[in-house]
Amino acid sequence: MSGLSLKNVSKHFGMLEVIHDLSLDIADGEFAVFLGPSGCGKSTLLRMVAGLEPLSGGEIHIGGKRIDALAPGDRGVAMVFQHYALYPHMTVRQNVAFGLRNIGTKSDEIARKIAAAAGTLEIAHLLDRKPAQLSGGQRQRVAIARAIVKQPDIFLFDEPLSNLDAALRSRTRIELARLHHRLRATMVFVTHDQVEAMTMATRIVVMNQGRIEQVGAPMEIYLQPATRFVASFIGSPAMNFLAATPTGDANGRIMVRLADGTTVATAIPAAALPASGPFTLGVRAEHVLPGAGSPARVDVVERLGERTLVHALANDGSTIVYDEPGDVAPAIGDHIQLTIDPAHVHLFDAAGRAYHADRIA
Amino acid sequence: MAAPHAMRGYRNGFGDRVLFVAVLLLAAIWIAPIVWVVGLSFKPNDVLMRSTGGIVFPPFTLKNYADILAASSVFHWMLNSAIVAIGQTILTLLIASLAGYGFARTNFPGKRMLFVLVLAALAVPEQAIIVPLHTMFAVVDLHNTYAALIAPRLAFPFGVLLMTQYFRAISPEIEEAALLDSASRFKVFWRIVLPLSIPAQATLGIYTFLHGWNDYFWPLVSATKPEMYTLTVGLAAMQTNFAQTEGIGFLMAQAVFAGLPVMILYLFFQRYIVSAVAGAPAK
Ligand SMILES: Nc1ncnc2c1ncn2[C@@H]1O[C@H](COP(=O)(O)OP(=O)(O)OP(=O)(O)O)[C@@H](O)[C@H]1O
Ligand SMILES: [Mg+2]
Repeated sequence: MSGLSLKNVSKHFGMLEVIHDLSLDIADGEFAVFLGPSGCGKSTLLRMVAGLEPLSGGEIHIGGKRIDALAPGDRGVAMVFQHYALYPHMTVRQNVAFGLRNIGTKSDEIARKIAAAAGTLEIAHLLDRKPAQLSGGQRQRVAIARAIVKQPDIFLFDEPLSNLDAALRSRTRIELARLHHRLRATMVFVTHDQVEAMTMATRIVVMNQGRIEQVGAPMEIYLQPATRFVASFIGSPAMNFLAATPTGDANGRIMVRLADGTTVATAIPAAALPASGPFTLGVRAEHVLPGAGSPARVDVVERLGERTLVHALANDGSTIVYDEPGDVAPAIGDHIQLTIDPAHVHLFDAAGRAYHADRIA
Repeated sequence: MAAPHAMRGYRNGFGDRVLFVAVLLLAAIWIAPIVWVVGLSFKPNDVLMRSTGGIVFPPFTLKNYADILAASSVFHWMLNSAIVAIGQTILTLLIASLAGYGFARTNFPGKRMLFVLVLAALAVPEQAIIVPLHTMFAVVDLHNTYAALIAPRLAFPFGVLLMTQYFRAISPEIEEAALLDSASRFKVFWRIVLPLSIPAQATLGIYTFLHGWNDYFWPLVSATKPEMYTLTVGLAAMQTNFAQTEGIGFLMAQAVFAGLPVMILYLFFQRYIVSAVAGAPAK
């Protein structure tokens, strides 16, 4: 068993608190993705697990064993760096072999492991090249091969796809997911790209300013974001946020009025909400329906191919985005009417905490 | 920017052609005395007593070189020079690499201050410290030893600076990857950092070697016994003392002989020497 467990981990650089008393358990075999905006401390956290950055407080355990005082090479982790960090003066073969040599693996076993990894990652024909003679995608594969041959308990990835072009990135995503399935290893993957998180993770850890906002399966986080921050970070386009005032309840469900005067009868239990305070209503583009409803004017039209995003301005000046399948969209300046699907709205209180309808099964 | 332009285009523009001729002329002026020295070294001494012109006409002789092999102290001085230059090179590389790596990668209180001190040392001229140096070595009674010839040159701020800059340019991620690959700190330095810094090591090494080989001032001051002379000091002593009796051809042969190791070094490391002189690390 090789789960990862962080216990009250904290980190500061001088006066700057980067990680605040963070606790998290990642089970054996999970593909955990740390997701958060730039500067939220994802890399720092990963580097602390790897042993490249000392902890300011707390403990890290791998497979039940405390490892935060061990040298990086003794922790049973392998890391794939954002810029690959291959050894420029060594061939691909030497790059992959370096770690095995250092722990005294026998030559014939090294050769066997390299052959196996080279087969998996389709780099057998590149083994005698130097990193400078490889494309970005090939370097990426070598970096992954270098990690695989060590058979680590935990793989650490720090934004390894960010230097690849869009096509290669989505292909590598699929291959990493496949690799995870094949190796059944625990993987921790850091990214600020919510698509990467949604597509690969078995569990997403959303981070903000050195704290965990939410931990959960991708669809759980998508459907029931715990905070306004999570709601805004997950999903593309970003969720619509509209100021909302509670006006009472119907059958125990809260009713709110939006700034343009529309009333929305939500499916959110009124009892769950705090008594007062400004609220924000959140609704995703796919739950805003064109047709009869409140008037709005088309501001921007974004064609994505399989669907089209329409940015509309409501009467009170707030922007609301909805999507249309294919290319049947109104033109800029058109007057349209929009309805919000009340079953799929979320409410956020002043502190950003979310309130959802009872889960729609 | 000017150099690649000139190299690419001297065939084209008129200005470039002028530049090309000028460079050629400069090279000719530069090389003339060397050609003359080499020419004279193959002439019999009694001919040279009458005239030092006409080096392209016979008679020629190898006697001057034979005399070097047979008699003079040139061999011994050359050995001294080699010991001093090689010793300085190895130790300078070691010290500059370690200091540079320390400045580039570690953090300790007073690091900035120490680095500023190193930079400040760049501005201290050799002449300013030669007397205190002489006194220091006299006090510990080390004059006329290899230690005295080598040691003062090991404090080489430019080398520390060069290595610091070079190590800083190496991505720390590469070293971190090696740490995760179970390499010890020393192994990271030895197997990763050092090989990656070979261009800088070569540049610094050649510079140090040439400097050590050609050094004159300090050995002149420190080595007073002829058996501790380096080649430069020895040849200079010969020229002033024995030019009349030994003959000019013999002197010239000694000069050529003294320059040979440097020539050979140059042929092997041309690439690095150019960049050492230009002050930029070779690719
Ligand atoms: N060595 C350091 N010294 C001082 N501050 C640091 C150091 N390393 C990181 N920080 C700070 O810690 C914070 C978190 O940095 P970190 O690199 O972990 O962010 P990140 O989430 O990985 O961001 P990105 O997505 O841009 O990579 C940032 O504010 C950064 O400036
Ligand atoms: Mg980062």
